[in-house]
Amino acid sequence: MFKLNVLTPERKAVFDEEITEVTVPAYSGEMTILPGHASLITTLGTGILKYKIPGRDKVFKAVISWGYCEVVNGSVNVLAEFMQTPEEVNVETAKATLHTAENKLVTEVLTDAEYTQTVNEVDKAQAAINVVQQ
Amino acid sequence: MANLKEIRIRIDSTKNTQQITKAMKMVSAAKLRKAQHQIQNMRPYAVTLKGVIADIAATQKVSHPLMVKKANPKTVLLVVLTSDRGLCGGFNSGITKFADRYIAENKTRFEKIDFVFIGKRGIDYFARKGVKAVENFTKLDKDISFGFAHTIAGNLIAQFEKGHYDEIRLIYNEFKSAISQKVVCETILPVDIDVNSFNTGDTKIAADMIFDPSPELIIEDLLKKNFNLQVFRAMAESVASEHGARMTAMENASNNARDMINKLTLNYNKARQEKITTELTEIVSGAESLK
Repeated sequence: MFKLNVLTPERKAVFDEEITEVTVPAYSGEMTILPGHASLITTLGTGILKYKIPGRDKVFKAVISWGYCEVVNGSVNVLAEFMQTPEEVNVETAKATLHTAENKLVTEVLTDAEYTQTVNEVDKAQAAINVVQQ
Repeated sequence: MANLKEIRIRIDSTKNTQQITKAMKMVSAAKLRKAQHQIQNMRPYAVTLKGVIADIAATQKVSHPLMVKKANPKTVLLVVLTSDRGLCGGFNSGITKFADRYIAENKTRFEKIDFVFIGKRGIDYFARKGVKAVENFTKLDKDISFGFAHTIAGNLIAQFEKGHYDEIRLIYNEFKSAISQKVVCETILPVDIDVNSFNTGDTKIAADMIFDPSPELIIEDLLKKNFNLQVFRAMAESVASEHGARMTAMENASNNARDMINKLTLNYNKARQEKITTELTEIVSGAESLK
């Protein structure tokens, strides 16, 4: 067992929660951290954060977008710029956003910054849909 | 002395004004609480992020262009943060005065000073003075979102990376308490992280730490995110200050209205009594003359 902290600029989402495993969308792909993991720092992409609390069957999930994750002294600290729990996700709006963003990618000429932003929007909306439907 | 009807009308209109100022005070108080909450929630995030950057920079001996201070900054970009709405006491005038003074003092020191104005009040004020801005942003009045701060921060960082400016400074109202704000001028780029102060203490970062990707890439990413956060924090502070300032201003206005109503009511009563006395005297003297 180890501790998980998740911080976002808008709130302290998870604080000192005892968990048995956590999965994060790390820089080089999805990564599951189990107890006794070596010290590590990685940046996070857009995706789904999952963690298990001992004694409860439910897997807790949330959409996160950009952050970093560190494993230090047996605790996992996640900083995420954006976080949304499945209860907060509105699938209809997420689908609409996904649709417009994808259209934009295909039809419009975008600058680099706009392109990155739109891709990020697509990822975020997709992750939001996945987190609800999985 | 004004006649009774005139005083009555004035009392009524002052009462109306008082009602408005009271309501505005209440609204500001509620908004202030929300803004304060936002600042508090952000603090742990900001502290952790800054700590990690300093840790990595110190232990991994990495540096980044965003962290390197120029010895003689020549070009400066001044970001002036004001509000969109008025009726908030000295909130905006404090900022604009400070900016004016800053320009006057540093005109000779720098080759170029450019501006970015955030908030309608600042834009209008400097437009009247004929100061041109590189960019203007408004719509601060609603809840500030991280996304909005993100856009502004992205713009600023792009300017800096292109080498247009040696320094980017931000002038805003720092939130001290509900009744006091302080105008501050901060250098937000290059990022000022005191690596040395972290060197001495024991860092959390072990020697065999795994970095994924490399420390250089991580620090670049973290620095940019930290910068976004700084802009967001400044905006949150500014919004909280605005509501605090407006609350105080409206409190004063309500008090003034109350004093005014008291004074007018006194005058009204005096005038009414005088009128009665005059009427009585007239009746009595009229009756006297009939005898």
